[in-house]
Amino acid sequence: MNEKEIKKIVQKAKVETSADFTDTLIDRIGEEALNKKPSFTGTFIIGFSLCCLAFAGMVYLLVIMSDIDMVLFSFKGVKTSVSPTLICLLILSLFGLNYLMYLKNEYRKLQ
Amino acid sequence: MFAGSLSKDRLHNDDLLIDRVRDGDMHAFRLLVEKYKDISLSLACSILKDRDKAEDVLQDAFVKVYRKLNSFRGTSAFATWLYRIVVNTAYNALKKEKRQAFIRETEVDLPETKEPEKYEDLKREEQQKYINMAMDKLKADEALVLRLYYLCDLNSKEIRKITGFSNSKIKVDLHRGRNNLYRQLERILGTEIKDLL
Repeated sequence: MNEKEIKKIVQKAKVETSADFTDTLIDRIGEEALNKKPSFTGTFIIGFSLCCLAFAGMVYLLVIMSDIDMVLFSFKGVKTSVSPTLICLLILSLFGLNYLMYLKNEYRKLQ
Repeated sequence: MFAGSLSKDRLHNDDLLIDRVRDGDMHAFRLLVEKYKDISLSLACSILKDRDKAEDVLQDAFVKVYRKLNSFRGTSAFATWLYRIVVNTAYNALKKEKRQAFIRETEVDLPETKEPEKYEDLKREEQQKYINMAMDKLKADEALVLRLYYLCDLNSKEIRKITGFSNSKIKVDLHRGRNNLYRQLERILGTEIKDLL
């Protein structure tokens, strides 16, 4: 068989979709848009942000209740002291960063 | 209706349709689906060898296309982008099911050629059925490359973009695909193969 003949045969090998293919597809897309579940990234970011917020609150409460002035850290002989307020601020900034990531994600989706 | 002032030619221009889909026009998406669904299904069938499964995979592929249409930059033709999604989705489905080994082992679909029917009496659908049977007996890569080359009229550069195959693999698959297709058709139709042409 030459090229032309092969082409003729392969062109006959077109498989046709069922009659309701397009309708089913359009319905599916419509349904998915209606029952849109939050994405894993979105859920993770929200979850992580809430954890950060809760942890920061816990640390702050602990600091108020026990009247701690400074928290001492020691790592391989190197000692440093950090203000508890700074720790809370660091945790809160993590929350802020995560929330910004979430907003960016949502904004991209809207676009 | 959506067509409005658009001429029929412009209506079928992919870029125009894509813009309308991006604006939320589902009728434009319907037109895109109608335009490409049969060729896309043929490509998926080349890989999956099962029409129903290929149709499910095609549904998934078109949903992906709809979701990702905003990220389509137009650096390649829409058809090339679409076929790449269809091919990747089909190969992923194939990997999941590990069907390939099963297909080669079983001979359920192909009727034995005891007495081939008179080809003059076969209708167009029957011709199509026998050709598709022969195509289903080819390896997934061979059938896919054959269809991309002859059915979609794509060159090897475009086929490489869609499949990720190397140039040499495309040439080898084309050569083997042609020979194996002829062999399978000869097996199914015997001397009646001439009537196909």
